[in-house]
Amino acid sequence: MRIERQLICVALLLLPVPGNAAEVEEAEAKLRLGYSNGTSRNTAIESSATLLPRLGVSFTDRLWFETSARVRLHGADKLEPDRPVYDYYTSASRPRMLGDSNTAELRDFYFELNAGASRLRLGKQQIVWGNLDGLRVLDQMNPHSFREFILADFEESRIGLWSLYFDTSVGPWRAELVWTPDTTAHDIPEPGAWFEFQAPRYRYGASPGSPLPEITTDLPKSMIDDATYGARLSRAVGRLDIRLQAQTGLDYEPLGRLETTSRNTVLEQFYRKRQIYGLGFDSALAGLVVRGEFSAQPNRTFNINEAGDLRIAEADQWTGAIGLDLNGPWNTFINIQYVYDRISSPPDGLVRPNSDHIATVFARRTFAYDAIIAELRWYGSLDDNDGLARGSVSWAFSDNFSIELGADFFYGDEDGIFGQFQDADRVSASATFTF
Amino acid sequence: MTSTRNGTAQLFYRLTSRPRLVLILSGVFILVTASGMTQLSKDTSVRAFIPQDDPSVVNDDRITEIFGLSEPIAVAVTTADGGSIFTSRSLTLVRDLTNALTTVPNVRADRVASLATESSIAGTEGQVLVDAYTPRGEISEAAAASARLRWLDMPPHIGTLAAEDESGAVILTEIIDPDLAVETYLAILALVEQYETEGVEIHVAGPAAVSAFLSKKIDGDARVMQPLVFVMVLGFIFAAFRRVKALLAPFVVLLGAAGGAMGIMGWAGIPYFAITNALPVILVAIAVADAIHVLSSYYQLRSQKPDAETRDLVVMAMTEMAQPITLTTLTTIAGFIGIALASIMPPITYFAWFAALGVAFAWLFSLITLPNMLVLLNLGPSKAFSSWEDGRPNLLGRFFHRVSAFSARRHVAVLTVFVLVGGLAAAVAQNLRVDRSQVENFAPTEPIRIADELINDTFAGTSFLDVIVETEEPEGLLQAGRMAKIVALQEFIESLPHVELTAGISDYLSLLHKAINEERSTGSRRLPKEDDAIAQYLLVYEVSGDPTDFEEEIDAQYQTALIRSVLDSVFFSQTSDAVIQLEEYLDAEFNEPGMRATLGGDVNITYHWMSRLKQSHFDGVMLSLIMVLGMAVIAFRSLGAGLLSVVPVSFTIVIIYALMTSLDIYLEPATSMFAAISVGVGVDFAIHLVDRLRVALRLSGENVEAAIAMAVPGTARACFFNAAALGIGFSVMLASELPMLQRFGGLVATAALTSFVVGLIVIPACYAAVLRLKRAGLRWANRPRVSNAILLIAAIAMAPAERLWADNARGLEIATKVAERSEGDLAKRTIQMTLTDRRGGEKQRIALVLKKSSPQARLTRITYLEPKALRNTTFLSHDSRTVERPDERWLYIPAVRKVRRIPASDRGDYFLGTDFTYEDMQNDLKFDVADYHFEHVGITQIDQRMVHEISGAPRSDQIASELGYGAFKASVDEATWLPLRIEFFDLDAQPLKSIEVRDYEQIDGIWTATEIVAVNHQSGHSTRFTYLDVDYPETLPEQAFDQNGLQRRLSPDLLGD
Repeated sequence: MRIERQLICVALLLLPVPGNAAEVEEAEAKLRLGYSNGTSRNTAIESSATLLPRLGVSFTDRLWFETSARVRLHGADKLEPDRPVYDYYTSASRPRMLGDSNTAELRDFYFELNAGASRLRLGKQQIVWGNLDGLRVLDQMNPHSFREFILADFEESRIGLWSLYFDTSVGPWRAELVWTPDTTAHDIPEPGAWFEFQAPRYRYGASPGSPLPEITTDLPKSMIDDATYGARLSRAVGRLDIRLQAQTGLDYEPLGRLETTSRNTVLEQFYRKRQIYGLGFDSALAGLVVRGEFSAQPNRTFNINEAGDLRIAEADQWTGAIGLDLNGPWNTFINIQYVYDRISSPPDGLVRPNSDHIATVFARRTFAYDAIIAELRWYGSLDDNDGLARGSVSWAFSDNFSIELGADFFYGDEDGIFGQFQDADRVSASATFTF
Repeated sequence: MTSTRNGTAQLFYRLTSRPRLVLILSGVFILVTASGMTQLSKDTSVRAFIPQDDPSVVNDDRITEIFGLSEPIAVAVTTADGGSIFTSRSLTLVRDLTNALTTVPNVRADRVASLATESSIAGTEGQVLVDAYTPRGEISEAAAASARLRWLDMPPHIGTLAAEDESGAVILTEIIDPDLAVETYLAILALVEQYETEGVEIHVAGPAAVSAFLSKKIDGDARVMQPLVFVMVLGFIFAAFRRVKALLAPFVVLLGAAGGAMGIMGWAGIPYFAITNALPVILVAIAVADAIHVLSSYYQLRSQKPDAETRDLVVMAMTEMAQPITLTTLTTIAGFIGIALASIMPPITYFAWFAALGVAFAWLFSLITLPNMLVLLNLGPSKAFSSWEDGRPNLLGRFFHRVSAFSARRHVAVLTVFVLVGGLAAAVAQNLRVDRSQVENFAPTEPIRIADELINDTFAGTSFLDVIVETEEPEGLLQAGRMAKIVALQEFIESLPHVELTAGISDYLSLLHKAINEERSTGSRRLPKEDDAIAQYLLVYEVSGDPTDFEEEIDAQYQTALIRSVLDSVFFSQTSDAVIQLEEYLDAEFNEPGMRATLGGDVNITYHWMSRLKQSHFDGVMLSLIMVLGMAVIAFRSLGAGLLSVVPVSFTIVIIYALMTSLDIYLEPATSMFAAISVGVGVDFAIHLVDRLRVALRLSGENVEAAIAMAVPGTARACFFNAAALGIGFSVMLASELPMLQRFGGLVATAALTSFVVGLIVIPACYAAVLRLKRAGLRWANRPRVSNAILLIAAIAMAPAERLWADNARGLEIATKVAERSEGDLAKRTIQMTLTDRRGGEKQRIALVLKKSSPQARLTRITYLEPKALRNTTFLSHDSRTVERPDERWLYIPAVRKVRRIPASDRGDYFLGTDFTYEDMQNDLKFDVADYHFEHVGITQIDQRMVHEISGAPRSDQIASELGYGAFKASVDEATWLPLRIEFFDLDAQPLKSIEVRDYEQIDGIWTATEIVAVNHQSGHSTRFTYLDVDYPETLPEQAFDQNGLQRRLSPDLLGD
């Protein structure tokens, strides 16, 4: 993508120009050393050193430049074994391979022009439009990497896209407009990866463990036709913060079709567009914070199994989520969420269930003036009685050094969203240095 | 200025946002529910108190069904000089009156019995002569003499138809419809007036008359008493608040509670029983209690803040009172439910359930309708609370304080006396009489009581104990052996205490036997020994007399017979022995295969009913006390506080039992109700006092005297008016004509006032004693952490109580000065934070603070600049100063790129690892006057500066919990109104942390702290804020304070770049 290179060049050119008043406002880097072990198989999942440099530069009072990157150096890596293909990424967003298993990727790279109550941001960036915890109903502007399923923080897994973003306030309204010509989609773990999807819903109806044909991916490339366009309006009404959202663009979840050639059968992954209309709100009620997100995706395209063949059909998808923040006993912060997702008038042979009910509970307590943070989190699918339980403790020894220990435990049937990873339990440890 | 600071306050702000709508909805609720009162059907009969499936009632109904017997009205004709009734004139009067009675509406003409309708049985020459006592035509003296002689040979008629001493005759008149008994009684009264002549007295009484007349009297009396109670209670509210407008709001609460419960009772088809008369009274008393507490709180606040917005004051009053009102509601409901579950009498069961419902309605109306009415009424200050203007309670409040303070000081003596009096009362109460006498419910001068007593004295009596003898087969009673057993049974019954005589078919068979065999009347019953003879005797009688003459003694199939015993006492306590012995006799001696006897009659009903009442009353009291205790323990989360709450009411009940024993007032259905009401209402005061004292004790560092000074004056005054309203309301019943209502009203009034007085004295004494033991046990003096608290407490406590009150207003004034200290409309500063842990490890943070103040709100934005890990983390708060918009808080966390709303109730949480809470950060060394009660402790000088020492105690548990502070003490510089040092105490009154202003200066004319140090005494952690680049600019960008703008970068000029 030319624009990527052009912007990088502009930035590099601007930085050293004498007299341009460019000033490095923020410069930091984090180094995280991590290790995780698969308890059920007693094997190292990943040992890595991750470098996260970030730079913020002001050129003028109004022009800001920010960039951040991620360099992963692996000792062991079962999350992306072998040499990952990254064919879900456009060339502009694709991580660069450093050797066979190490990667470098640009996370943010954008210029921001501020003018009063407006700002214009151009470049590779992450746009977060959802407010739920660990769940995404309206947070659909950027695709995610599922190399760690949903165990990585969204901040870590969200894939920055090359976008144009405009944000302005008019009276009580805040308006945000987005154009994302970058057609990078969700990064789905490749066969053999630790978190390779096993549930039939993510394997085009194939049973867990059954072999899939050779997979190819046909990623759209048009910066106009396949781009994502989004608009969001926000304002406060009394005690209620409400957000209205509309977006149209690439559906980041791949569809599949079987292509039979004279030699073999190939599963080709392809993409369709979708529209999302959403409403989000949050409010504080007598010691509680209540938040909700609702989305409608009319005529979304889904895979169906029809007479042994993989076809597509359209149906409306409705999703609603409600969440509560409250103070629990023993000075804990507790977050409870419930999501209901439903396909209305589902076509026969749908490879995914007609509906999902998911609940999450999150509890956190801090100790020693926030230096120690203990967290417990549970996700449960109420349909399949499978779930994920997570626990972690982090200890910030200083502002520059912290360690974290965690454990993730999956349970339930392997057809379920969480149960599919019943053999993927892990314990992990990491140490983070900030410079 | 008031800001909404907690969930309760916010709730009440929401509840009072549409006062007219709430009022309309309340009115609609009252109309809809209260209209159910038109559906109420009355059942004021005494029989309604007995479960209709009770075996004794079932048997009585069978007696009526089989033998046609029902409760009669007795008309007694007696000679004025005690001479014989067997004269021509008297018997003629009896006959004429008997005939006239048969024409009275509702009288069963065939069931009027007297010397004029009954016959004697005699035998001559093998003939059985059945002769009427009175001939049809003129009754000559000779006929009268003949009648006398024949009567003397008829034992069943001696003492029944005519008195044994011949001084009078009785006409027993059975009625058709018991519901019309009163009208019939009055008609008979009017009739007998026409027959009263010189030398003869005519009295009307009897069970039917007594029962019906009692119901009417209760009903009539209650009709007068209820409105009077209502007026008295409202009058008392006026006396308490001295504002006519103040009556309106409680009046609506009373309507909602009493009208709602009574109306739903009507809609549910529950009859209006005699005891239901007390329901509106008790609901009025309870409902008014809630209203009095809210109004008291409101007027106290109003006098202290005359310029405050009414709605703010109402919300503050409701915030303060919502919890105790809810507590007392729950405990009262628990008390009534206990009574309902244990009672065996349907009217009392319904009474308790609907009282509980009414109490719930009172709670709803007090919490929803009352505040809205207060907002609309916009009540001005009351003279009754004028002394509160300077924080000093009025005379009554001071008096109660002195009483409680004395009790606490002399707690050993007080509790000793209390235990001794309680023990003595319990000993006396052991002799409490459980009794019942229908006629004693009337005043001694009441004609019906005189008549009833005369009939009981002159004749055999009007109390009946019946035995129904049944055989399995028809004509089973014609066997001589069985008849002999019946005779033996009658002789046994006649040997029982208070039994005057028995009458049954055996008496007539004996008469027939003697007549046929021409034997002399010996007084003993003699029967033939052959089975056939009995049948033949009865045949002979049918030939000679009226075949229906024996229908009251034996049924037509000779299978079931009735033996009626007449007792000369109407008291349960005197007749119960007869029932017990008779039941034992029947089981042991009489019942046999093929023949069985059971008991009936009013004596039997009374025995079984009263026995169960006795048991259920004490069970009910225990159960309701246990339920109240359980509720109080749950509510207070403390077994001790729960126990303390039920001590006064338990003591009161024992005292009332002892009082009843001493005054010979027996426990009966009416008087037994005092306990239900005492438990329900009496516990309220204790709950209020325990609740306030617990808070005050915590705030005063468990100093009892200081706590009493804080809690008792206001609480006791409100409770006194509540208890007095209840006491005076029920005292109105002392003016009733019915001793039953007098006793009931007197006992409840005494119980209400006793509960109040005992609570006022005993609860503070108990706290003093417990704390003394606790201190002795824990050796607090050795604990340095506590010693600081004790110093503070001592500082507060050593001030005389009078001074404490006076210092309330001064404390508030100082706090208000601090709150009103100028902080600039706009402010910008950079804080350099140094966080030091107990080991000396340091962390540095730098944050930009922007503030914007307006009459509507104070907006605060804190954006972290350093360290890198926290950079751009931003906290935004909108601290509203208006009632409409509650506080709101958001946190922007760059790591997740999200703006999160955080609950305002987290204001006591520590701000991002510092020793300052969110509240501290936002309030900028000010105290929210809506959060605390303030006191002025004293004035000192520091470095030539005049410094006021003030202390503050959160207004409620909830506020304390939200703030995380149980109390504070501050040293306020009079020149700058900056608190130079604030000592905070935790919820357990332990020193928590101190905030010290180390340096300050005047910038742009505004006194500004430039160095503040907070030290947490419990963790050893400290935080130093050094303010840099303080500026009070002309403008700041609006978007900096907009939650939607938190993700945007602040402009470099704001950041000081």
